[in-house]
Amino acid sequence: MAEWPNQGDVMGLIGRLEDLPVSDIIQIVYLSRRTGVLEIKKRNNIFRIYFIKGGLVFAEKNVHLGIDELLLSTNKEIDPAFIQQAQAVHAAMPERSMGDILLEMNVCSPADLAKTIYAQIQELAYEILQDEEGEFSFDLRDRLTSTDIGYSPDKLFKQSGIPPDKILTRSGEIGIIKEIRDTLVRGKEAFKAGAQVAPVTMTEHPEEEGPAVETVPAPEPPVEIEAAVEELPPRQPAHTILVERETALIPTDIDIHFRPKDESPKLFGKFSLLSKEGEQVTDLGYNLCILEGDPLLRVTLKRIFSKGGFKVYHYNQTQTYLSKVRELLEAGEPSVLVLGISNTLQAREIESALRDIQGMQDSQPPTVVIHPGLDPRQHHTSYLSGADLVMVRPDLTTMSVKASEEVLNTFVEDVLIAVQRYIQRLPEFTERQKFHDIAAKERLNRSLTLLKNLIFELANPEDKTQVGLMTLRMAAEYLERAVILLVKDEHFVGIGGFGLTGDDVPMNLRVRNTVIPEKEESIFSQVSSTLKPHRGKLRRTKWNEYFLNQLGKIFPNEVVLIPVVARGKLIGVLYGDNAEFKRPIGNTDGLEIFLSQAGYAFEDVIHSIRWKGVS
Amino acid sequence: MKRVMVVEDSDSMRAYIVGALEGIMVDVVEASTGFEALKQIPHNPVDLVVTDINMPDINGLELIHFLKQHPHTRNIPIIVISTERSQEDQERAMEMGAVDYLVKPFNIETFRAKVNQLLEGTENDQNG
Repeated sequence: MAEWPNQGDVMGLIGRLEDLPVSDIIQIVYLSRRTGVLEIKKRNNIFRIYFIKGGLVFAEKNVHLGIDELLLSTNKEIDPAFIQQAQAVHAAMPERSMGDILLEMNVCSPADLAKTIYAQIQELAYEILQDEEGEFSFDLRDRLTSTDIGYSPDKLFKQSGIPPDKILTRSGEIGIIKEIRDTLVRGKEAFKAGAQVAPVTMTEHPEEEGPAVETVPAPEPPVEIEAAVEELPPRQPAHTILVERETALIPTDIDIHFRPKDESPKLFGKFSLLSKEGEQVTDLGYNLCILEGDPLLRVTLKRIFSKGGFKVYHYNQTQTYLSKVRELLEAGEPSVLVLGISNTLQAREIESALRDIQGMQDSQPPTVVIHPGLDPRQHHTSYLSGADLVMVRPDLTTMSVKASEEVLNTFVEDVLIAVQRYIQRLPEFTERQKFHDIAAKERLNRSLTLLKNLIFELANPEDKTQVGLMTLRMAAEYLERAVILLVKDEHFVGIGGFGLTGDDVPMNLRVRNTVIPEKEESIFSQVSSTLKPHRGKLRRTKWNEYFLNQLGKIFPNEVVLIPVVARGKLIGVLYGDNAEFKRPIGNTDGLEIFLSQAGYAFEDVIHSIRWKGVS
Repeated sequence: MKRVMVVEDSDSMRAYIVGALEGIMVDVVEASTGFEALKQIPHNPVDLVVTDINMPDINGLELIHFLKQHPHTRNIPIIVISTERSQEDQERAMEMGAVDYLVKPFNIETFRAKVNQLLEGTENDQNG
């Protein structure tokens, strides 16, 4: 099997269209979910087609045309003054793509932009597919950003771009209609010139010439672009340039020149769909370790299991695979293994590997083995070696491109379903799930709903006397201990608090006897001068030590102080820590937002407080 | 100098509005979310708020609601800038307390004129 080359991180490939037609290149890039730029040189023109994860995202001919220029040239309803305003913003923010700016400024709708891009790709695809002579090069990229292509495809298209079959099929249709139109135009001209031409109908014989009453316009692209593309049933045109070929999925007998970036063209090998060795894809839940020689199956496993929440590692060499599995099992990371067997020789190697894995750390990770055939004896051997599930590899060699993709997806989805069901029954999964649920619940408790409700309560004039309690209630969502001190006559005066003190005197009582001069050096004077929150350790100063001693006999590792401000003036400070269990203090954004609104309410409260012990 | 707060989650749109305000003699305070606006206002009291509607955390309408509920902020005039063109949306924003409603993209001169007019109004209120 030919492969993408492994030399270097970024590779390219070049070749002639006579060997590999454009439609095949596009399909191959799509099936292998590649990102990069396909450049085609033909008839003194240079075409570029941009791909992100196999989807078509942009196309251009000879010169780079900005999204703004494209939009302006194709959409007469757009006010050029607004385009100019967007250009001015883009000049100030070159890191943002023009397409994103146009959308954010509402200069055009996402549907308008999608339609323009779709039409551009469509138009050029038709031109590119006209004949099959010329050169191509595919510049494989790690990623293409929105600034590379001028917009963010994920804001316009459901997938990473437009699936090529939509474009290729549509180009086929346009091609047929254009041929008909050209024929009719020629007929009309001949008719005008007085030639005697027999009439024909516009059906399945576009090559026949005849007179025309009027020309047939090229079809407009779909209005709802991606939504329409996804929801409409697949077209089955009478004539398409890309037909479903009853041939092997991947051409294995064509030599393609591969070129590492920044190197002169050089022959490396043959072409296939292999992904980078050991590439890590996502970072969710269970690991999935794939050992599979067939790049197409491996890529499909990677894609579908990544979407299923697995962190995927994939290999085609047994030793590197075993090394990774050992590393994960030794680290105690929950993992699922998928091992593909393609022939008898490899079967022995895989079974040996399985036995090795079973011996690692007394671990028995869920294991799926994919066999090439139906022989129950081979399946039995795999089960004895440690497999939990044996599946039979689908035979794609006689299938069309579309059918093979569907079969492969279905097969891998079946593997995913089986694996998900298996691990859901594992005891450690249940425990992990419980933990996850508790964490989610905790996050929910700190949700915006609570924050919004408290802010609403805070703004209600009738509840102003309760502002201290509400603040402490909010603080309790974030901290184990907290106290509020308000500024009065150049002193910070404690008004209330909660949390463990280490003795019988409650925090509320302790803090009410706490008074700190505003001008003396302390963490409070620091917050007072900056009006910004402080998070970290406390410096050893007289008043800091006094303050901590006032709170009790438990001392924190980390503290947070958030100023309470109204009309630019410091009203008070909320102090908090996690002294009880010494946990790090988490994100307190919500609390800070709440306190920003509490300032006005505290301002009123201050006047009604009976101050105690201020000296 | 009068102070105007621009609340807009889109960086480019915010830059555009701030750029438009550069032609007027005002201090501009920026906030990328409704919550950020709520956090900043006590520190930097403002004379006018220009806000988008569709934003993460709290949206522009909620921001108006918060500001209009509170005695210290309820008199701040608010201009809403939105992609929503429907009469219903405009009426809803105005009912909640917005003084004007502009649909994106908008004419810079119109926007500046409205801001000037509203800031003059706040000046008169203060003088009166």
